[in-house]
Amino acid sequence: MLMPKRVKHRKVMRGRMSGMAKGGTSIAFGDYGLMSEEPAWITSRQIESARRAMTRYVKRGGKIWIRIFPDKPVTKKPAEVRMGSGKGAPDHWVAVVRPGRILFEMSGVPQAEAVEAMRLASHKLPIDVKFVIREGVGDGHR
Amino acid sequence: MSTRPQLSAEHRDVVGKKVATLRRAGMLPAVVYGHDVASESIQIDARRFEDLRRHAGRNALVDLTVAGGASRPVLLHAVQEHVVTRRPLHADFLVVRMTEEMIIEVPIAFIGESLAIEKLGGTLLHMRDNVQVRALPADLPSSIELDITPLDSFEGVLHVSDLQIPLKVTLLSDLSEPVARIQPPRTEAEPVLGEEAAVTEPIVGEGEGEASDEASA
Repeated sequence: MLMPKRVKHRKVMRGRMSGMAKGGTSIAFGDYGLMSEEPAWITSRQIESARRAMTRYVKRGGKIWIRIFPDKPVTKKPAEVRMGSGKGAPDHWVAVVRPGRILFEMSGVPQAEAVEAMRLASHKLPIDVKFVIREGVGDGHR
Repeated sequence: MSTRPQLSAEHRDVVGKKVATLRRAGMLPAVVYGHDVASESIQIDARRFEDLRRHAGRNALVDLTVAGGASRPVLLHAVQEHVVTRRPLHADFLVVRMTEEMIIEVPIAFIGESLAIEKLGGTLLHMRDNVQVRALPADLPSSIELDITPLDSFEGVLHVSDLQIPLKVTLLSDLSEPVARIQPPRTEAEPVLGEEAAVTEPIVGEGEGEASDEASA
């Protein structure tokens, strides 16, 4: 699963997810993309699960790009521990996603295949997503 | 009589955050400016603008009439869009001088069929989506074609120099820059990303040899 090789701080504050995505809002590499419509923390497990769903459906050929990276550590206190005594230990990694962010991209496959692969991937994600097409490919943005 | 698409606009006094009311009323806030032309806030019918954008194509000249005045040739210079709905929020029109050359970005359109894609199952990778060109406004192309037929193996690369540049258009981008190549297909199942990394912790600290915040705690 994706995680940083080196971090400056082991634990970080939660932050806010208000507003729209500032960058990564257009398809940069492939012909088709999956765009988030809601803000969420996407875990490295969810990213890997969605990637596998797409890769398995497409089988051979095509190329998939992952446009988000889980660089935010999430901590968790052990079970049955009273409140206090400091922050818990790092548990997993998440990517902070805001509406409009392109999560995955794909090219080299027919559009119908890309739609189905991304539909399967969308079921692995905790948010509503939208299938988008690069300008100049097929019938444009959808 | 010009054959260019026509667009009529009205002068706009509403500025700032209040333009949201205009959008709700089906109008699109826009601005028109140009070389030695004072900037002017205008509003146009959002539906008419969408039709124009869809049918006129990129880098198409439009005859813009503001408040029933004389029509001016303009170029759709920039469009701000909502990141999720992709609805236009604001448009910039650039007044052009028909005798003055201008520099714009033109998208590359890939045409033809590559043997490496059709027979060998490769994937077309485009390293560049657009190039910079200089031309008179009337000669501005909506796209520049690139024939990918010569890409019959995975080693081949097409460069900016392979683009089919129309007459009266000067290419400004670096000719040696790669534009497209074919990536071989995946033959085996991809390894799971960072399988071994899952059991290791990331290194904490800014540089090498620096103590981690856990060690110092």
